[in-house]
Amino acid sequence: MPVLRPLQSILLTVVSSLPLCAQDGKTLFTQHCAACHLADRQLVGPSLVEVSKLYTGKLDQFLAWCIEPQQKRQGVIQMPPMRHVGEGNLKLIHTHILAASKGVKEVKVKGLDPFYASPSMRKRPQVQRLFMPEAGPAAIAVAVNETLHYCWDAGSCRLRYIWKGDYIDGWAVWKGNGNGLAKIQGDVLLREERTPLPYPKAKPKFLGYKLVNGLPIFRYRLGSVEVLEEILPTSDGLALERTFTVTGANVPTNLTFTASDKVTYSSKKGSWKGTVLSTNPHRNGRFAVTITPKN
Amino acid sequence: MRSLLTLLLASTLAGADSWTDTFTIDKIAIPPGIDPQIGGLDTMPNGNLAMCFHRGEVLIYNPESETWSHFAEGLHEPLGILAESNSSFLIMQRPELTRVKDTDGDGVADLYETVFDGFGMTGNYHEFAFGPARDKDGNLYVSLNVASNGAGVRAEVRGPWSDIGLDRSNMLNGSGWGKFRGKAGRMYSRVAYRGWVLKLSPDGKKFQPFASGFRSPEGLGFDREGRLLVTDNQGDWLGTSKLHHVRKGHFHGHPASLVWNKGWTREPLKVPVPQLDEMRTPAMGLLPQGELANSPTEPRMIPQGVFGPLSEQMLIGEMNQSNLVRFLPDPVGEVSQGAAIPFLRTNALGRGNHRLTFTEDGSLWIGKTHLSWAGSNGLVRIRLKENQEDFLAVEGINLIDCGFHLSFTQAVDRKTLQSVKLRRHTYKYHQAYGSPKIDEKEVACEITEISINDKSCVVKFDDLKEGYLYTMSLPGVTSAKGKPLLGDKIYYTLLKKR
Repeated sequence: MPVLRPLQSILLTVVSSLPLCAQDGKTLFTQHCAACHLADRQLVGPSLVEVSKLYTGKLDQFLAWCIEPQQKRQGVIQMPPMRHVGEGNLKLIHTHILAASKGVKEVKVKGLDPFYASPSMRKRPQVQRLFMPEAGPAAIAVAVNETLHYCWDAGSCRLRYIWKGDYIDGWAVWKGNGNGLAKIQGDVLLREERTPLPYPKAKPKFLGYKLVNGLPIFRYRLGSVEVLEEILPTSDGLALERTFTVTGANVPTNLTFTASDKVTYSSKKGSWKGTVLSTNPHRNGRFAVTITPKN
Repeated sequence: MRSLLTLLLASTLAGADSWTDTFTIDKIAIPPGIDPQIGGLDTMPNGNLAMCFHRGEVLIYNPESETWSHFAEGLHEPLGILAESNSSFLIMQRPELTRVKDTDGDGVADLYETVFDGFGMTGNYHEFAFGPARDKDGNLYVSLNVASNGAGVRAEVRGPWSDIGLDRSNMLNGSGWGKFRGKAGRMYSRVAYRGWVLKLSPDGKKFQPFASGFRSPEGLGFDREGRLLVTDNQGDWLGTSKLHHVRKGHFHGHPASLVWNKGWTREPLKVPVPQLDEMRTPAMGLLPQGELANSPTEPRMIPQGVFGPLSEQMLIGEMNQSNLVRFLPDPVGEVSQGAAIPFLRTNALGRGNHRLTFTEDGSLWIGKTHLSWAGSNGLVRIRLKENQEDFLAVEGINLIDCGFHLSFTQAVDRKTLQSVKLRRHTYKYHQAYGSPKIDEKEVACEITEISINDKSCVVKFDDLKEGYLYTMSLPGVTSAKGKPLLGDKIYYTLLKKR
């Protein structure tokens, strides 16, 4: 899997009605084309190597295609018309494509998600519901930042695991009718065996989530209590800050976390005995725990 | 040589296309970076279009300024959207019905509130969830696919498991599944309400299992009379695709869902077929496989004043064929039946026709998808051309004691009616996948009682037989002004004689 940098939002560019100033071909390409075209391999559209083969010395045909694209290939998505980019800018893009593909060799790839680089897939943070491994079928994959991610289960209302690395490859789910599981693209730091909250018999009821700065605050009921749970990056982005706010008749004093040799737990309030956190009961049911990956 | 021939043939067909003479069909480009398979599509109160996509994005399209904005994302295979307001949407995704709402007015959703998730999931890919459709009292209806034995279930499922059927340990995905899949039933319902239509209170807090017997109830919609219409897809127990009039407590024919009837204990596949046949409510409309529809989708009413004489009739999307279906209900007493007619049968439409909505300017919008089956993607806009309101189409068909009474939108050229031909056939009701046409024969008919204004006639025949699909062909019928008939086949499901 190539590591691709998140791209500027193509969507915003399309939505914008501001006239385009004279720009260089590379910037224009990034704005209008890079979500679907890579230099060395097929993504949503053909590689720049292939585009160059088709349109070297054929600027007019290139322009005609961009302004009114057709459906030529089976099983791929038709390119949207690029009339709004303007003929002058399309010429600059043509020049850039020829230059950027010079000396590049086409890599044949199978099974690569054609939308891997698209802005809506590379957004961070990101919340994506889809079939995930080692979780119930109502799973939610959350990219907290570029490197820390977790899977939360809306069926059992609990964190399933945290991993470090790249986010997910969802192609197995998205390529067809959903018959597959996403792959996590990193190393699991922690698999939580059960909810840290002390209600082993309570039937969980998921109530949804609110997004604050792109990250979810989950809301759910466990028996007689209602819980808000959020997992945020610490200010340096290297660890996670997990907060529970429990309201209701039976607010807990102890939370039991799952031990892992890849993380350490800490908190500003309360005392620890192993992985059990005890707090003063009149702290209004609020627990904040820092989960730090070990190096 | 062959490609040249195909090209010639295609251009001949395109040249003779009376649909595109009457309607414009425009493709609207979806912003790049979005897998453009549209799962749900609805018109917002402000006239904008809200649509959800295969990977869970929700985009809003302003047809006037032709601009897009990004509203929400991250949903799990959303297959239906209902605009509650300009800032709040009910969206059916695989795991739940969710209210996706912008609460701070910045034009982007920040609240994803679970409205209803009281149904099971095994993780089987075929367990799609559809809807919601809203009745005039605000109640919501959603529908749930059964699972397919194309895969097993996951070790961890959501919701209670039914022990009726193959042992759970043998149902698991993995290398062992191949040995057992043949015994699971072609489609199965091992978690709650798979194969059912559910009714939810307007706030989603209460629900009732409303009707059972569905296989893949892909689309739900209400007609002018407030009937809940639901499509279902050809497969096991469905000789052909169907349109059902769904009523409380009815069983619509696919037996897997029966295990979720209160007190039910029998293995559905062991119930004798005649007994199942006795229990079921036959489809209001049979949509013949290969001819009219292979995968019908959403029923949507044409709004008042739109498409001229077809105003307030029902349209149904179709995934696998390059046409929509127009449906004309013709109930006889308590029995719902009616006629299906191809609509927009033109290559210019293309396949994948999944979700339909109208805007106030009289445009029909179609969101397309394929989900790896035959289909397409993207957004299409259909408009009736100016000065084309005088198109010729069948406006109504009613069963009478000696045949069908037909009415047309325009005066017809009488002599062209002599081409009308009638056949009938039916389908097997059985566990196997699909069905050949059964007991097919030509039915002798004659055209009589052409009205003085040449806008109606009777197709008279003796052989009126309940339980049959009558296919009427009207090739070459034209209006008095020489316009061709749009939709020259009528598929009438005769369940009960008048």
